[in-house]
Parts: sequence; structure tokens; C-alpha cells
Amino acid sequence: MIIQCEKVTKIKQGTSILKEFSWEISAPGIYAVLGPNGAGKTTMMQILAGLTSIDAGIVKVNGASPFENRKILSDICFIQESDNFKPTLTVGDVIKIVRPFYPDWEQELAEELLGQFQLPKKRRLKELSKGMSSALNMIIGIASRAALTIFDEPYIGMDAGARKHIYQVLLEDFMEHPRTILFSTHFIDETENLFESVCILKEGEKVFEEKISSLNERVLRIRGADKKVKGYAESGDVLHTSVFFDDTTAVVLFPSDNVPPVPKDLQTEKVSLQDFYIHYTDRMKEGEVQ
Amino acid sequence: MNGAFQDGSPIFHQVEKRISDNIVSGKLTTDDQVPSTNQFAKHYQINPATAAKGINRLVDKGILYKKRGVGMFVASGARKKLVAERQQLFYEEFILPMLEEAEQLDISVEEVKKMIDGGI
Repeated sequence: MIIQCEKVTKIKQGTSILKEFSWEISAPGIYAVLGPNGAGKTTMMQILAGLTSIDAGIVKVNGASPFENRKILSDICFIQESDNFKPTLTVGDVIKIVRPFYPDWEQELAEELLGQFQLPKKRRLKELSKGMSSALNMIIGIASRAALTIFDEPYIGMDAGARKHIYQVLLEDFMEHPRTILFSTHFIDETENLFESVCILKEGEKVFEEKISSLNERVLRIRGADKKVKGYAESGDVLHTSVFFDDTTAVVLFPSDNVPPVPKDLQTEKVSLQDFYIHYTDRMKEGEVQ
Repeated sequence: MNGAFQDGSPIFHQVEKRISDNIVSGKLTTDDQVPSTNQFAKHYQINPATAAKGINRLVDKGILYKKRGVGMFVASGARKKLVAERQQLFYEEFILPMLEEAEQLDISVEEVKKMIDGGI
């Protein structure tokens, strides 16, 4: 599944929701879509799923515009936070309705997961808790095996155990059937390991994009004497600093080809994706990162 | 090595280290098969690309070799390479911090030597 967004602009009621947003995905993978509320994540994903038109730019999913394009829609499964099914339908009805949409639908997996998440087929949607509805939505997303599957904060109301379980199912099914999965979340700490790449949006623009493994190699938290830390951090972007006792701690993003070896009088630590995201987007508030 | 190192390092390093540790300790020897990318990904619940990165770093270093369609295996001389690499780091990563701590605690180098000899 090849996705191309080129300078995509979307305006709603006079406000630009997306501003010249560009993103290219050419290989299967699980992609994190991060950004503060109102950054344009949902709009961007709705555009990819063919649910929303654009005002300027180019969007192509497998070479064609997705907007109201029936040919492509069977390759796309978009799971939103709240479901779009009538509350009087039963779980079984919903499965029957969505199944014919997706040529690669995996009924056996769907049945197995309904069992694991204790979703009786006869239960009506209005009788499901929020967490159970979310589980149903995620099961549909996974069982669709759609070449492009989009999860937009899909886990609302699910408890920690259920979330962990569904992440595991998603990851293992992805390994057996690699496809393009976009996943937007605010629970970054618990999902970080699922992702291969991250795309960060802010105020309608893409402000960062990278493979997680290469990001991990160039973002460091370092601690030590103030002068030493500042000296070491010189060739990078300091995203955050704090001083405590006699120590300075800094989160530094180095250019990928230039991460200096760490002197032995400085301590280093891995920076989680969540911390990176927070410091990176926070610092932009101050207008320092371009 | 110590737990702090594991906690503080990216996951692909941990994958790399887990395999290296097994080679250094002798649990894995030449031509032994190591778990696949997907097995690592499943076990650690991480994206297979992350697991692959850890494994590929060992392939690049000549520690592992790939048999197409079969899997990853320990290359001959792998232990030697890893041991040499770690010996170089031994002084900096173990001896120096120990001496620094000893100094802070008013333990003399002589006393440290005694501890090593006597095991107390």
C-alpha cells in the first residue's frame, strides 16, 4: 500500500485544519501518528480513508485519489474512536455487515477474538460498555486485514489488561500479515514498542517523521556537570534542560550522522518516545525548532 | 552486565546484547541458530523492524550470518570478537567506576586488591 500526501491543505469553516501536509509511506509497517488535540490527526486520517475531500494538494492511496473511490475503499479500514453502527444492532449483526466489505476478512480470527474479549454475538451494541465497544472496533480493524488499516485512538474505555492484549494481537497479526497500519494515540508509553515509525503533527503541519530505531540512536538524555553537558550537547538540539543539585540533565537531539561518543564523566539514558514527543512539541511552543 | 544498562538502552541494543551474552557465555556456539526476528518481536512485544535492527547489527559485525530462508546462525569466531570487544570496555565500564566508588568510600586501592584476592 503506497500512500502519498503532497502539500495537502484542508480548510473547515475558514480555519486550516491541515497546512501543506506531506507524508509518504511506501512500505508496510505500524506507523504512530502523534500530536496534541486539534493537530489535524483525525482529519488527515479521514482524508486517507476517503471520507473527506481536500482543498489543495494531492492525496494518493495506491496511486488513486481515495475520496469516494469505491475501488480503493475495500482496501482501507478506518476505526474511529466512536462507532458508526446503530445501537440496536447486535455484535453478530455488525460482523455480518462489515465482513463483505473486506476481501481479506479473517472470520476465524474475528470469532476467536470476540470470544477472548467476551463479546457475545447476541449482545446489542447499546448494552456494551465503552471498553467493549472499543474492543469490538479494534477486532474489526484487525480482522479486516485491510491493506491500509487506520486506528484513531481506538481503545477508549478499555482497561489496561484489555489494551495490552489487543496490542499483542495487533502486533502478532501484523507480523504474519504485514500491512500498513496507522495508529494515533495519546498513550505513547504503552504503545511505543509497537511502532516502526513516528509522524508528529502540530497545528495542521507535519513537524517530525522518523523511524523509531534511528530516532533512538540520536536522541539522548545526558546528565552531569553543567559545563560538560553543555559542551557535549553543542552539536545537537537541546530539547529540554533541568538542573537539580549540582547536575544538569538535558534531552538532546543530534543530527543522525553526528552523535558524539559520550565522555565517561557524563551519564546517558534512553529517551522514551513519549518524553521525546513532549519535549519536542513543547519546545516548538517557544519557537526554537524549525 | 548490570540491569541499569538494559533499562537505559534502546530495545534493539537489548536484543543485540541478549544474543551477545549467550555467545560470550558459551550457551550459543558456532553454527547454532538464534531466534528469528519474529520470535524476538513476539517475545518482547516489539515491532519486528526493531528486533531486526538488533540482529542486523550483529550480522554487520560478523557475529551472525544469514542462511536464506532458514534463519540466523552464530558465525565462527563470534565469541572471540565479542570477548575482545568487551575486554576493551572492561577497564572503563567496571574497574574505573569501582575505583571511583572505592575512593569516595575511603577504601584504598590496597584494600580493594585485598577484597579481590580474599573475596571479602
